[in-house]
Amino acid sequence: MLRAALLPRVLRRHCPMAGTRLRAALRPPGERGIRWEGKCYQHATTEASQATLASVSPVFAVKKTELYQELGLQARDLRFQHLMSITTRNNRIIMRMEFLKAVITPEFLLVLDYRNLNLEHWLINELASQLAGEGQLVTYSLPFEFRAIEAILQYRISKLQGRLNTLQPQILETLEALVDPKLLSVDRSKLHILLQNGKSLSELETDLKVFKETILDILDEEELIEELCLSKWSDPQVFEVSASGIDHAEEMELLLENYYRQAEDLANEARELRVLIDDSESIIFINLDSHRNVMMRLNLQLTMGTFSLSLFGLIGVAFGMNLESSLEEDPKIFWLVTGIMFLGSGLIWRRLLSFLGRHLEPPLPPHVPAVLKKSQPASGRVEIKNNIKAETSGLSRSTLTSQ
Amino acid sequence: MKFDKEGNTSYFEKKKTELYQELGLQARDLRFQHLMSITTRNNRIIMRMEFLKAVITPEFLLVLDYRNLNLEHWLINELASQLAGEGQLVTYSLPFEFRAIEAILQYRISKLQGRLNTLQPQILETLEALVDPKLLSVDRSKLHILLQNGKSLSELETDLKVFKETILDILDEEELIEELCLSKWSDPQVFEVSASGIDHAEEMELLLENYYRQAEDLANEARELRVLIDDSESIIFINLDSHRNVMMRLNLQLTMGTFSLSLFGLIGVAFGMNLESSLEEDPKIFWLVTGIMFLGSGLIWRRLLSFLGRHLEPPLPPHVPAVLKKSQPASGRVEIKNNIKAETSGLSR
Repeated sequence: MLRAALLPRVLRRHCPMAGTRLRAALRPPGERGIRWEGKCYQHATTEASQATLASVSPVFAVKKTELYQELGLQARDLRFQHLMSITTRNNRIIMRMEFLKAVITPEFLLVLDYRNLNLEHWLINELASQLAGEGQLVTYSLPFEFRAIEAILQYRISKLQGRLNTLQPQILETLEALVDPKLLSVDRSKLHILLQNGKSLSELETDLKVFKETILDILDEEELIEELCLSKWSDPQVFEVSASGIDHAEEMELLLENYYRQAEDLANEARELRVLIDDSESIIFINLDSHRNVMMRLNLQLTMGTFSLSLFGLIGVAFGMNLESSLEEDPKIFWLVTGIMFLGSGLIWRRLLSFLGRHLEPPLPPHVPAVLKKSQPASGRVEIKNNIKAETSGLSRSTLTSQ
Repeated sequence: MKFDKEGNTSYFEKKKTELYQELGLQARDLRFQHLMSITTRNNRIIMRMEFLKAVITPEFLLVLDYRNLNLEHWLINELASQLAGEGQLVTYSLPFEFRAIEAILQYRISKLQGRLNTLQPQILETLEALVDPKLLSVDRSKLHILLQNGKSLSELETDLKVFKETILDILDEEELIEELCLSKWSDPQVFEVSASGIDHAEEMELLLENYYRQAEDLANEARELRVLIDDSESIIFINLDSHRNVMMRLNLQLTMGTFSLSLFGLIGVAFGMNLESSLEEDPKIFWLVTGIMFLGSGLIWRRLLSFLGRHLEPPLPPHVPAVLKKSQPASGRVEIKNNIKAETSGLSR
């Protein structure tokens, strides 16, 4: 059983000024009407009262086969296989925008299976008024199918834009928190959020791409555009006035191009967000690497200290053995050996730190021979200076880099 | 704001509906939905370049909503004189709409170029500072600046792309180019002189192609900058990795030393226990054991360092058999040399 909402175009012709009354006249959907032969009509009153226009959105449930016969379509036309499609069959436009399945005729717009999700809100509140000519559609001076197509396209684009607008601040905020240079490690829950956001972003990009391709396929073929102008074919008056016939096709083309460009703008924004995410990931990598280098440097300095202490501590261990050396009697030996231990370990540590400083400086580039020559006679002095300076510079640099 | 052929400017405010009637357009034509668009309606050209919204007729150029931002400076100072024929426009000998279109396109291109020119030195400077090989760690505030610059660069690339696409759409359709030549349709004299009629379309096409190519050049520069940023990021990675490898190697050598000292220091610890060994009386034993401790730890350390040297050297490539043959008789000597060298090289390195 299909549940369909019928939005007739004829409302406009009957009462052009009844826009405000449209909403007031909507009856609650719980009203049941006649029931016969398995069909169940459930619609707000349609006593064609010209003044009240209550038949704004009759709601009914029909069997599929009857619907097909009524519309003049076949079962395969209404299969809605793809996520998004706009096709024309037998002078009816069949559109699907993910959850919105619609059939447009020159007289009315039929929405199938409308009880899913949150379509009802839009359908009841906005679509009827838009089709009647209020709202902000561009095409209100054009035949009904233009308004219908535009309303659906506008709905779709605004949905996509809404998704982008919720996604963008989330992503920016997550990236800001992750790229913060003060962090030593990365907050892994935020990374998870970033992954989710990236997934949503790629889904959005795909939806935009499908939308653009759907419209582009139609724009590429002149015939398809003309097929969409239903009024041309059904209303012989319109068809004969060839000037306005051409206008119809142009108007349809403009309409489609307009929404194509809107989708393109959204796609550009989404692409920029994607580029920003990739750049930020590189920056996060570099940040972490840099932290790691700083920590490793500190680790290395401490390991040097431990090594030199162990080296000269071995002397103390040696003298701590219960073996007689000839040196026990001399009281000065104690202070000598202790002094050797401490000073020796300090000197070795300094020398190692100078290795750290000198080793990690880049070698002079080979294509600058002048600089090389100049520095060679001074290299001896430079090395000695390095040994003395390296300790102070190493200590001072370590304090600088650890900031 | 209204610009005349002779460069007269006038300001006025009108209701939208009056404006539409005057221009012969509809409300939907002047909606300026997209960021950049050039369209023709009813013999009027409607252009939008981000903040500049203009309508061009064969007689005058109308700028809508001109009070925003810093358009006023350009509008007052330059546009009027350009339209009057002074300035450096190429098209001053052609009808008015050519000058108007060119002035607007030139303005847009120069704006985009200005953005690129401010962005480029910033990016180059930031990259120079980051790629400096002397750095052991990376200045993280500069990284943040680089990220901001990258974002501005991608926005600029998008704007250029939209600009190029706008112009390309027109260039693809002969009809659209002809529609832009307003004078052809409104001035029957011009239309009948078919030679100059064709010239108009060609001129318009040339004009548009010119600015398309300028935009393409800018886009190429922007792309080069983007590639440079990516390459520099890779270089920064490699620098940091290389530093880390060196530090890890040193760390490893020292750990080997500490290990070997601990190993042979165990002997001293053993003798330091308050347990009687039979060796206490001999004075020479002290020096013997001490010597064993120091020399033994030194030897073990050397051997470990040679492991480091041999393990981490790359194996000889198999497809160079000549080199292999030459090095095989020498391999024994090379290994011994490695053992001896590794210690000195380890210390000196």
